[in-house]
Amino acid sequence: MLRLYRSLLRLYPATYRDEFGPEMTSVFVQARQDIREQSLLRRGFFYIREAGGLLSGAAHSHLGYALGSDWPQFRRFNMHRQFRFPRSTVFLMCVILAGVALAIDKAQHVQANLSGAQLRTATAAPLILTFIIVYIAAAAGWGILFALRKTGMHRLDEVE
Amino acid sequence: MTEPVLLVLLSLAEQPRHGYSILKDVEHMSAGRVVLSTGTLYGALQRLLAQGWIERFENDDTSRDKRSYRLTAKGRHNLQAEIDRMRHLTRLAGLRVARKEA
Repeated sequence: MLRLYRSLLRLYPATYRDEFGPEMTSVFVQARQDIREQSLLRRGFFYIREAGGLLSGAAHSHLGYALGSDWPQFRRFNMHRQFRFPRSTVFLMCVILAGVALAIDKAQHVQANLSGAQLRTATAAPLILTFIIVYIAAAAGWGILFALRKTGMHRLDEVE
Repeated sequence: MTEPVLLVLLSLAEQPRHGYSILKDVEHMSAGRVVLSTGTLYGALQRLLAQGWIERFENDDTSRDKRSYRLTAKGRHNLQAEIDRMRHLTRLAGLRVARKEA
């Protein structure tokens, strides 16, 4: 994990990394020692939080360097509590992404197998492929709608 | 000012601290409700440094990996202003709610 942490640190601008990198790594190592005895779930949340913090921190610092003082300060924390993404949404989005990637991989595999037997099943192949694509699109659409529902987007209608 | 930033400033108001100590103190002050990642903490520290609200200094007994942070006069002044604003808001909220209930 330390190697992954250091890899993610490389996403930061070099000046930022030189200034804070060793300190951040040291704090991460200490924090990791604290949760070593805790449950797998808590450790999982810890690593996800750290990875998310580094990714968003790197994006913010790049924007900060690019835009200078025009970049709104502490913007991330200013979001109203009701409109923040619940933690479960991040997990759900990861599951959906993994599902879509897996489905694409399977579809490619099926397509490759069909091309070998194309002469035998010339009429069946397009139908199967269409069915797979429609199925993937429907699953992805349902997943996106479900994730949006989890974010609380529908509550926007209740805001005056 | 947002809650995590306020908690970081409150943590430094008591005494100078290094990164890990701030992280644990914020968690302790918020009773585990606000748990900062290192990326979020150092993002906030960098911005507070750039604004001159805090400063970094080297302790004799700490390495480069464990530099400490403390509030500047400007940071303390702004923190006090924020506390006054919140105190006023709390008093006002109490009055309004009491009036409604009465």
